[in-house]
Amino acid sequence: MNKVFYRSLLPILLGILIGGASFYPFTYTNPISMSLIGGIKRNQWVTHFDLSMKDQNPWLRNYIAFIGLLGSIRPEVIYFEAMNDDDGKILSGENDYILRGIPPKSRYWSFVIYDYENSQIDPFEETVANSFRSTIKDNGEYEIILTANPEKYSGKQIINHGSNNFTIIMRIYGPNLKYYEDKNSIPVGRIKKVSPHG
Amino acid sequence: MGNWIIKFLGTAILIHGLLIWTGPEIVMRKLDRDLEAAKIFESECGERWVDGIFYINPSCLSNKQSARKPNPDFLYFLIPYDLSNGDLFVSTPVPPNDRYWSIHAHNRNTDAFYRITNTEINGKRFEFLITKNKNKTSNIPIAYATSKKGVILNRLVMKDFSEYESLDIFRRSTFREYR
Repeated sequence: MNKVFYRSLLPILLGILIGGASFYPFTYTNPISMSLIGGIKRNQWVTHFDLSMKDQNPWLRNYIAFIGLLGSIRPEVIYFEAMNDDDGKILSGENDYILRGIPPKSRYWSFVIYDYENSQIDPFEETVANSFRSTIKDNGEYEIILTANPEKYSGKQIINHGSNNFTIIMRIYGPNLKYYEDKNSIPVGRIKKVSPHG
Repeated sequence: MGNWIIKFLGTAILIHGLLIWTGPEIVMRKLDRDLEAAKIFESECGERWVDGIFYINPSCLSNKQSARKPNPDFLYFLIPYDLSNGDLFVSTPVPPNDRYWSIHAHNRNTDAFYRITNTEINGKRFEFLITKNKNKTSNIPIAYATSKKGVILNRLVMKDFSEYESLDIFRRSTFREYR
């Protein structure tokens, strides 16, 4: 009995376990899925130009189904996602950050944060900054504070992470079509940690 | 030992491939269940199902597992369809070009097979047909689906959250029927 188990059942059981475990990273945003699916990287930001299209690879199709079902397709939108600051550290609900950059050429752009379970953070109205409501500074850049303490930054454009660890998505709707030819021309934001709050 | 490794690797690859292949269908089934559950009226979510169209209220999205990473700026509506009932005709209002608006049609495997945005449309309404019949012709745009079941998704941007009520009325003049 032991011989049968070790020779036949054990490799199959281990195979099922490893097969399932290797699937799991493709169901949420994490460094493994972000590096393995392929995709286009700009600093800490990752995007996929083939998202939701029929020629996308099956891992990307599965990943998008789990993290953002029914995504828009090229050339409607470019989604950029980041889970690290400029120093490569995970975006933590313990910290405040400044997000700065040149607005992309597009019909509409936004930044929205989500928790690690791919869900909205409430109050959801405070988790978004966009081209309609963001002011552009004299140097041509937006400046958005990511914090759980909006009262510390009176008069600033705020995204409230509510002390949740988070990922951030930049959506560029109706993007300049040249962005698809030259990824380096897409202006992505810089995310700098300000200070631990408390 | 060689046999053992072959059994182990073969099973692992098979299970991984099976899960990757069926993952989108698993999520679509969850969406089906969430849409069915949303037929129960909840006052804070408003009238969500009207004549086969599901109007999504942003404040009722966060507790739905199938609604991953929705954009809080958007008003969405969904039209799940089954072309066993015939071709699907859709008529929906289109806002001016200063406001982003789009329609996507997705197959059951989640791939989008049709998309259009308001800068590509002249007029205040957009009418189109979804069919599986490749030989179908019509005087309105046709989206050719490759699966019987699927979903149409509309995105309408709110420049400010105070626009919710007026844009909610606007989008609800959408109409769909099987022909």
